[in-house]
Amino acid sequence: MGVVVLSADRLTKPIAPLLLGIHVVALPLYPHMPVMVLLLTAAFTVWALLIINGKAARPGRWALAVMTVLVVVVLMLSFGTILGQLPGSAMLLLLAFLKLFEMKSTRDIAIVIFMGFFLVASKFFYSQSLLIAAHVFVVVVYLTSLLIVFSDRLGTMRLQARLHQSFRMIAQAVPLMLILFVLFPRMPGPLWGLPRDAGSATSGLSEEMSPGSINRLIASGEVAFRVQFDSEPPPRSDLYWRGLALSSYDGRTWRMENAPAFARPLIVSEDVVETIYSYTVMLEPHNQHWLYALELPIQHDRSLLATREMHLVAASPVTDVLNYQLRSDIGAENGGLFEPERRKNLALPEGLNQDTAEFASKLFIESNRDSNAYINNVLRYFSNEAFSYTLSPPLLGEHAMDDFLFSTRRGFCEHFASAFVYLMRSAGIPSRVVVGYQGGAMHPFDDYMIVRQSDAHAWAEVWLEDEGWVRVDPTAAVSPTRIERGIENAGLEHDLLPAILISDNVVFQRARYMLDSFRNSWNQWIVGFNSDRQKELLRLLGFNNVTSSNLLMGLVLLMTVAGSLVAWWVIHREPVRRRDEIKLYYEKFCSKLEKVGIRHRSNEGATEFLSRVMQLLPSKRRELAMITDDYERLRYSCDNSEALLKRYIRAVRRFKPK
Amino acid sequence: MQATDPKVRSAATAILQHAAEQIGRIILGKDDQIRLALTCLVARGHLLIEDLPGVGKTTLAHAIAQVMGLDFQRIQFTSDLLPADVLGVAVYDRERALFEFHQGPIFSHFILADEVNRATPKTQSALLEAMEEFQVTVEGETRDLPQPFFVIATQNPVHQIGTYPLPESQLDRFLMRLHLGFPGKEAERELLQGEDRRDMIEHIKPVLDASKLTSIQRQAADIFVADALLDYVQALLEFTRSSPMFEVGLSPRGGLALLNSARALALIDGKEFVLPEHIKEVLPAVVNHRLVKTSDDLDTKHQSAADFIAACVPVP
Repeated sequence: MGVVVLSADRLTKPIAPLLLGIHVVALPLYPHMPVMVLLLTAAFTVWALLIINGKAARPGRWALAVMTVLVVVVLMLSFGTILGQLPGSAMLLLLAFLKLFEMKSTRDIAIVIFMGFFLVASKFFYSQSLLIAAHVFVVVVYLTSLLIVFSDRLGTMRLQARLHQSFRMIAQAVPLMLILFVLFPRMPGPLWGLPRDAGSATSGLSEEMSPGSINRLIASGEVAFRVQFDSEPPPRSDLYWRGLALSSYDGRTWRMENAPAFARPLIVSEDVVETIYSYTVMLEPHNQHWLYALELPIQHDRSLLATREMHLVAASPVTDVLNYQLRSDIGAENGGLFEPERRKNLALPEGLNQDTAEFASKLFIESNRDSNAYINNVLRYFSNEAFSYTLSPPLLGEHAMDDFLFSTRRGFCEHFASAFVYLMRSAGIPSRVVVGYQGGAMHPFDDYMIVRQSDAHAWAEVWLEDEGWVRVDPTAAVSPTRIERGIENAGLEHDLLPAILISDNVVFQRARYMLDSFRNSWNQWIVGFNSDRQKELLRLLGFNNVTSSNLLMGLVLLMTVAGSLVAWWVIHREPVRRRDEIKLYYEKFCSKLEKVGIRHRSNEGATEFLSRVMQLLPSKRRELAMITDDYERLRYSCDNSEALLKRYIRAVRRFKPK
Repeated sequence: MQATDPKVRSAATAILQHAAEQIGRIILGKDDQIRLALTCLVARGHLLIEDLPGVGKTTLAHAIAQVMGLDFQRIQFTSDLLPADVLGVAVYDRERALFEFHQGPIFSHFILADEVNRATPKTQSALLEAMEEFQVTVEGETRDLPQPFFVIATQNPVHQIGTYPLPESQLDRFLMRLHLGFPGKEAERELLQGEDRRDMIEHIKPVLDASKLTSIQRQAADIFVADALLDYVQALLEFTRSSPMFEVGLSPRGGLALLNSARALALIDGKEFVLPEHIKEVLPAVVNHRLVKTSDDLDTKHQSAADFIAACVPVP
């Protein structure tokens, strides 16, 4: 596209489609944008609309300068910086509007469109979901067709033809895209260590648990992770997806101990085949470090780390879908307790819950100071007394345990886990709260299991001298169906559960599951195509041990060869070079004439041009006629003798209009 | 491509230019139309002349036939004209006890179908099929028409009363459509002063005959067309197809018509190859009747389709 300066009228015309383009591009960014940026966007839009309707003038140079300063000020006020993903995107967006006001030539139109392309790409910083990909596709088709529209200076192409060409251009780019996608060296971890904006939303469970923190999650049907088992999955009552062990309690909230001890856990596995499961977890991004695993993981990817508390930790927060393979032994023993750990897992806040403490010591004595008997008595207490399992428990006072155990007696899993651990610690048995997920549903027609946020759960772990850490789930004592048949069958308030779990509509359910299958494939093959998958694929193609520098070199080589082939094809498609030479000299001839004010029109044949030029330059008739005649002979007849070509070239070189 | 001997070619050019001159002496001030009419004849196409009565349509046709030395038949189309009146009819001969075919007027080299749009579509179709196939089928028997075979049809402007306008699909059968228009002031004066045109036609000496014309037609078909010009023709076709100006773009037949006409014109000009100017010159006559403009475009309402196309497509 050459630089063509446009008249004022032809400049207002492109504003409308470009304005639409900018908004379509920016649509997914708007929810992330601060109010001030949105207001400025709205103001620019209104102005642009007024210009389109001829009710306002385009801003002059000074107004644009002022607006540029305004943009920077707004960005500084909103973000405190103009660096980073979101401020960068916001700046690009606002500057695109200013460029829209500033357009003078077709080149400026192209710049606005290319800014659009850049903004489109920036959306992948925030999400790589299927929806965003579909949106990006639509936007790219739209922007490409705009590019075609504004390159088509006559404006005579039909809309259908434009879209068609746009699709065709994108289709032509697909092979290149696929090659780059498959072969471009993959960096492990997030994109070039790009800094995350502060306050990236985390989802799912957090590092602490207080009353209400888990039943808040229950209403969400969102997928926490998907699991693919290498064999039959374990029975539902063994599906405890362990996340974090919370040891410190302040009377209200359970927290993970800061500074986790990075020492290897001590796991005693009997290697009984029946209890060992291998599986792959496909974790949705939750912006946290820790991962979920069936109790107890005995083998894991080397990039992961297991702590003393049996937390499985990734090197960086999980911002993209993360796949990891595990082997878990649900019958393994987790042994070893250092003295500081024992102290930590016995600590209770002072001066709280006197009644609970008394009750605990009484019951412990009744149980003959036997830990196992005591545990059973506590569980029996939960099941025999009028405790109920509910999603809407009443609020608890300062002495939360006393209130819960002796008066309200209505609670969700975190209440029972919390009370149970409190009772254990009161009796001197080291114990802790564990948060994670319990259950999971097999996909009805795909071979993976879906674990949703609604499967979030809290339970307890108790230290028994001869058995190590033992899982006890007090919720099972109150509501056995929760563990055996899932949250949707636990007799909870139905309107507080996610629709997907309780809907009777078969079509809706099927459609949801199909969508989930599709999403899973997308995550696995597109988003989750990391260096491991790449290596796997290359191995399948017969390339072993490919390093990324080899890959890059191969890619460059491949591109060079492919590019050369295409270039060779373009050059030798037909013998255009000679004819190009003829045309080139004719253009030279025309540009010589243009210097004296005679312009050759593109829709004009040589003879037509000649008759026009002859009238203006009668003194040069002979030369003009000769050049034109030779040109036509060379270009349009089958006579292509070298002598004629030489004569023609010489004549054009010597030709002087004045 | 088989090259024709330059001497033969220049002889053909001389004959054609001489013919054009002769006709030009009878039809005054219409040199461009005469040139195109001859082009059409040399390109083995049929010609449609669309204009008001009395501007010399018939005279032009008559003059061309005379100059070309072809046997000439005039069929006046009327609303009661039947296909058999054009093609001929099989009559039963009682003595010999068989059907004998009596050839209609169409069995001649040169047909003037006067006021073709006054006849019913059935009769029009009979003529147009003969034009397309160079043969007629009567009573299940196919008979070839003499070669060369050339039809000049005249048509009154379609909005006149008592006409059956030719459908677009049949307009396509004509290689070219020409308008004569009123003569210029000087030409008209000369026409009014001069002797009777009919007598003048009688006195024209034929410059050709059927076999010579056939050989000239063959020479025209051999004129070289460079790839660049094929590109140009394709660009013109593509333009009409993608432009919102037109309901439907030009067909491949339209493209062939352009090329053949341009070749014939190049021969008349004494060139051994086609120039872009030849294509541009035949463009209005060849494409205007094949294209239907979408009516909503006010900017180009007064511009013919061909002018618009030629202005938009760059010459290679």
